[in-house]
Amino acid sequence: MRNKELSIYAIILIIFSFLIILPLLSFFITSLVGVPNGIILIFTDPSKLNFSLSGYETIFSSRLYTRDITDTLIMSLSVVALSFVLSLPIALLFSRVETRAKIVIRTILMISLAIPGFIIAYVFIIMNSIAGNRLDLIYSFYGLVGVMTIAMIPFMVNYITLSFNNLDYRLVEASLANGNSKIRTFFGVTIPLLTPGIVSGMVIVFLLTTGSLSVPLLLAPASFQVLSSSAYTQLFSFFNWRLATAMLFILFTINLIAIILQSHLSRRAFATVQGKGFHQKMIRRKAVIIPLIIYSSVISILPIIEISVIGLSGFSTRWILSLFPQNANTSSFSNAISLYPFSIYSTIITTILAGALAVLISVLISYNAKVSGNSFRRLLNFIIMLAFAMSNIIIGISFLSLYNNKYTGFMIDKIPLMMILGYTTGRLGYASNSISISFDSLSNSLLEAARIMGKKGYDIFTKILLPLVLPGILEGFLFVTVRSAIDYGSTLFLAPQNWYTLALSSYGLITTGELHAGSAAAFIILLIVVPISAVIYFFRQRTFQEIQA
Amino acid sequence: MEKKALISVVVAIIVVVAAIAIGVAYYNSTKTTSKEVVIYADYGSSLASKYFSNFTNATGIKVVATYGAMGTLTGKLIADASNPSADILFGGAPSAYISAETNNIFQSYTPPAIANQAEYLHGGLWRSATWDWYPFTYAVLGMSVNTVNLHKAGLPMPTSFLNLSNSTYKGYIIMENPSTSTTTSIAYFSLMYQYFLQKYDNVTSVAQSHFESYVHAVLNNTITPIQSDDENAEVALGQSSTAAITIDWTYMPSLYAAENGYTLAPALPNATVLGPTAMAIVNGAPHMAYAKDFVNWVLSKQGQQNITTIFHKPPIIAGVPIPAGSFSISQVQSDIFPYNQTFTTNNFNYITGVFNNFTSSASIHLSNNAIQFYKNAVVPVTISQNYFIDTSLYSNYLKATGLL
Repeated sequence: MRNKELSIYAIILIIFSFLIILPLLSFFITSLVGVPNGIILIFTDPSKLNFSLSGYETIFSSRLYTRDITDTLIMSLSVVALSFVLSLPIALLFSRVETRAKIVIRTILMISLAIPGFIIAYVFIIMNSIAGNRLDLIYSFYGLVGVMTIAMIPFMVNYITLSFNNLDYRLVEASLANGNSKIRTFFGVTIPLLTPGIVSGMVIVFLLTTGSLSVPLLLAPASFQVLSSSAYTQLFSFFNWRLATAMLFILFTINLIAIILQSHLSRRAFATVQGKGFHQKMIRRKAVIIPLIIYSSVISILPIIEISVIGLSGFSTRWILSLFPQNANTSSFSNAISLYPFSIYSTIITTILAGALAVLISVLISYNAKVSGNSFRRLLNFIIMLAFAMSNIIIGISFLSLYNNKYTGFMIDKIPLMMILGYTTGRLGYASNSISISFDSLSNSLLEAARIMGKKGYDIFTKILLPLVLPGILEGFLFVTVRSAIDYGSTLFLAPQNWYTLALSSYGLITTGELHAGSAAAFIILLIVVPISAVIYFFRQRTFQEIQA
Repeated sequence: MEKKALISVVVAIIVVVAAIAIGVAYYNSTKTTSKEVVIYADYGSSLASKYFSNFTNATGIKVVATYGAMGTLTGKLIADASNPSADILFGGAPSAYISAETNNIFQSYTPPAIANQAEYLHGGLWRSATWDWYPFTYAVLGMSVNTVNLHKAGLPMPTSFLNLSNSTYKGYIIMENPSTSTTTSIAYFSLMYQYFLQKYDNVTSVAQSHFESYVHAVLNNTITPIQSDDENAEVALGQSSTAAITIDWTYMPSLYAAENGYTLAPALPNATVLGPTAMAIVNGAPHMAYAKDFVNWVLSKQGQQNITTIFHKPPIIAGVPIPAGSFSISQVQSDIFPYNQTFTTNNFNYITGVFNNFTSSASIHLSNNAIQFYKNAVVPVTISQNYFIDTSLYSNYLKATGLL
């Protein structure tokens, strides 16, 4: 490896140290010392610190807290299982049926990637008030799992569809031609080929569910408390940093185990998601196609209902016990905007910068791996995995504990730098995934041909690689931007006073009882992120070369 | 990668660093002249923003406000303690301030307007001993009643918090979670715990047994969802077609009736809490001088008049008329239960623990381990006085508000 590539890796490692490794270390130290700025005190005033594992001991010795761990697992695994079952028919439609209807359905479903869980929860809360509290079931385990599942279906559909699209049916035919039974072929060929993609989808859904904070805060019954919301209560009701951060570190460990497991199961994943135009077996029986279209249409109506309800609520000041709002006006919008006048700009500026930064880092990693081999890539991928396992609230607290001091505190309370870096860290995995798939699908012969023709590295990058991987780059950028725009967990800790985002404003308004102004802020979020999601869909289609009817 | 690319990366890093440096330099050059005060407010923004606007109009000092639940705001102040960005914590009950005070997040300050007003500080109980926090108004804890639903269900108007454990009210009560409603709900549950301690001669085990049974019974009458705070509970009650009662401060229902058109009215129970609403300057506040200006304006005649007109709450200083529906301190002081704020802070874990265990299904008993866990957190106190509110006052109040 040349010195230039090594220096790029060194730069990336330094960036990762400040974004991932040191904050995680700081977070772990906080769980041992029980004060938010523990890592700083180690150097400035160590006598004030009391190192102890008591936070962890309390969790594992009390049924009340071990129950939070099991509840987290029960909720997340239930959401994974339910979203998988509900997504399967839709993925079949997308990958095995030739119909124009699926373009519309898929566009709407992709748009719902941009609808945050707390807005879906809030939609059900509004519908409950319209129905005179007859939908109280939403405030139960079933309601919690139901809302989380609705939020996760688009993710699961995407991954299962990719798996189906990239299943080379010639392998199945070869197995059958060799005399293997259908059952043996299904378990011996089809399932192993589908597993990596499906497992990836399951793990993404698992991580998003365990890390969710706002939905459990809004809907979870007191008898069913998950680690994220329980830690939130410990932080903001009991001010118990030791216990809260210990809970979240356990959550981080659970997530990391899930990712390592997925990594182990998906070693062949790259062969299945590159989209090489494999031979597909299409479904042609109308008796199967029509139910699939009807079912998928019904599911795809949900995001339309969600957007409509939030919009109607935002355009009213009273909506009780009637199908339509009683006082239609725009005062909720003017209230929300006058209270948080910079929130629209803040949302746009910070999320775009986060998207750009995530893309820059991911391109550096992928490009370097492409031109210099994979020597350091495993290490970098492992560090990205650590970031993947950090839920938003962990990122918020870890950055706060490391950087909120008199020397670097201005990056949190004066300028939105740590907020942007927090967004970048939390979604780096997504950007890296999109971009590395684009780079990996490029043939090395292109690079060799360019070198033979005397092209230098810079020209190769700008004139050959960049145009080919641009769809992957844009997809990564837009995905980071959209998911950052709906972030609550890290924004709560890292947003400067004048940089409150729409998501923070909306959630704040909802929790102080100003429901319609909260709806208005949420609707503005959707106006920003939904069109971006539609663009993501466009690029995703191109990136993965999906078969269209 | 060729030199050009490497140079591009280095240039990009330099540009980012330079931008940050310029930003910091710009901030440093402007911070001394930025005439603003950063306030964390435990109020709904629609009301508090009017109040802050009036402050800005009167003083020229801009308010940058964050609105939220008391727990979230205080937790954020503790998180920011090593590098505070807020100047003022505004609103919320003393129990939350007592708890936060131990984290050294408040700056001691003695506002001249109330420095020598023992009467308005409730004999000194309504402020921190070191003037870390102090009151700017007060309220009486009671119940908010959806009069339409109460009438429809044929239920009697509750006259005591004890009524709420009666099965007559099953399915008609909306409750707030004391873990998150650290002003209202915690005051209610702590009041009931203190009431049972007093009733059973401070025998903790007996009082706890009765308190736990009471909580169990009340939660058995409660409908889902448990609300996070009183603002949400008022909205849920106002919008419900069945729910009839929630716990709240007596000034709140008329406020929501006026603002949202809900059919809500206050119910003042006997043996209740007369609670101050507090504020504090944050330790290391970036705009300390303006923070003091804010505190002094809130305690000025103009600021107090705005409290009565915007929040519908009584003033804490003399010479400002008490709004309709509120009581003067002297009217109710001697009849109020001797509620102890420090007790509430010290028993927060036990009270919220009991609540959380019974909200599970309102039919599950505390396990022995859970009971022991929470009881370990209890700090015993002695409650010896024996005051109850004069029921004739309550009757007069009901007549005055048209509820009787």
